[in-house]
Amino acid sequence: METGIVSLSDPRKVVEDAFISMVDPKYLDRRGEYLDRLDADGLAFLEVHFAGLPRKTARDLIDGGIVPVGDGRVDLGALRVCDLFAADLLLRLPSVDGHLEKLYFQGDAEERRMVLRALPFIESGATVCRLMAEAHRTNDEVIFESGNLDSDLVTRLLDDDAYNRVVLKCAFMAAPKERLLGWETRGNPALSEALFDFMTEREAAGRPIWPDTAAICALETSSLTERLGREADPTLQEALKRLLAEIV
Amino acid sequence: MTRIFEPHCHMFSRVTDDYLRMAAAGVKVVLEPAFWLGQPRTHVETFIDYFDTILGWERFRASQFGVHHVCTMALNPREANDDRVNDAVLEVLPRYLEKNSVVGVGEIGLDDMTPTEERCMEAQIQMAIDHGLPILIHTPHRNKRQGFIRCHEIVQASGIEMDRVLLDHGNEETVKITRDTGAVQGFSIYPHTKMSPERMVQIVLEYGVDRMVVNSACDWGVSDPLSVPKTVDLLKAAGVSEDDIDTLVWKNPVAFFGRDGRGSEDEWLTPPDMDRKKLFDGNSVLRGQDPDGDWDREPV
Repeated sequence: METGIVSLSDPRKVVEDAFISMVDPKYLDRRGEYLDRLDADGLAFLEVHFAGLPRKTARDLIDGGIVPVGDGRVDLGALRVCDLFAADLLLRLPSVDGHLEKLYFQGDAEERRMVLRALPFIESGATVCRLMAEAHRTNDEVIFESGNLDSDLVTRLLDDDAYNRVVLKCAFMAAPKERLLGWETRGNPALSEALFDFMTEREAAGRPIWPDTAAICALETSSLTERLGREADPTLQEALKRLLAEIV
Repeated sequence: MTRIFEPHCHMFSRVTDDYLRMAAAGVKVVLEPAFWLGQPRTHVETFIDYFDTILGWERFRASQFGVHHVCTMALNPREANDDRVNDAVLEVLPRYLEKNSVVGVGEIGLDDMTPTEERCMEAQIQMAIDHGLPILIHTPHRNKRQGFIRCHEIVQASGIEMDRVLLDHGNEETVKITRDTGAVQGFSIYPHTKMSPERMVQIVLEYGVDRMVVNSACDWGVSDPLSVPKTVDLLKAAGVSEDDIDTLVWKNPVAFFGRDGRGSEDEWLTPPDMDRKKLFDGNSVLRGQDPDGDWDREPV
């Protein structure tokens, strides 16, 4: 759902425009109050009052779409009003080094979700990658999604091993590939083979197969064709043929 | 069935059968005041982990049995005397008071009635004022009448509105003091030591239910998480009206703790998400059982 509503990709400009065009104006006064308190009390204010953002603003999703931000893209429609407030406040810190992780690790699930949803607006670096990995490590779907989906952070920042683990978790959770912005640019032989193995495990157990398996495997089929040549198990051979036929 | 808001129970130290029984007896919400763990903690970090547990895992655990879980946060009066931890705990408390399931500051109050306890109590009342929260006050088990009076003096001097004050662990003696203060009076129905269901019935018959709540204060000691439902049964048998009972065990605690967007009757009457396939930080209460199986059995 490309909207093109925001043309400038500076993160603060993106957030500013989102407040103006996608958020109910009744929240603008509250935004002014938060920014004033942040100016006056700095990080100490944020460390105490970050937790109250969902309660004091709103948990409703904002009415947005996919926009460029910095070097990447983010789907604003996946953010709640409080997530936008959080991004707005975090972007005003002179530096997020150390602070972002502190807010994340001392936070409850909602605070963590807000920190993770702010990552696409933060300058990419080691902190962003560490928090994405932390979100991946949890088996909490909401946390995983908040840190890894609905932006192109995963496709831009992760190496193949880490990227493949995220895609496999999407397959496990049945999250559609479209939530990994840029998925069409990141196929690799190991990923295709891993998705094939996951597909056959699911088939053997009589469980649903990830509908995007063929689309992702189509990005890189060399490992599948090679496997077809050496696969001795007739059931797996048959499954490989079916998958390759679907790709063609 | 009578709907119940249980305004004082330390579920951290209870088992899942307690949640099953409480839910079956009409308990919709449990409030877990931060308290001490039976032996002193020696580092602020252990308080932090405890606070995070009652905000996180314990809340999830309650939800799996259809019960809402909220809490109050505080440095408890007993550990307020411990200079190894007291000031450091006071320092971290403000950020916990903004957490979304925190509905008050407590248990604060007095235990041995020392100057340090009073300093910590005053500091935490000010935090409650700053964060717009009510306070839950633990009153001493020894020299209760004197302790009640001293707690009340400290509260009055603080300037907090009296309708934001709950003086807990009351009895026949303290109710006479509290009635004129404007504060809410809590009664802990706790076997053998604090207050029995029978004595509670007599208090209701004599004083009514205005500004009163009852709780089990169940913890790791000899205590009964069903003491509120049992008291409800005795109140019914004694002829107390359904409306008065509803006021005592539901409306009063909901009105006291459900303020400023931190919970409401509508929210608490809507059952929490009981999806047993859901995990909290990778963990569930199932211990390998089938989420769709028969684990929701009758308690032993």
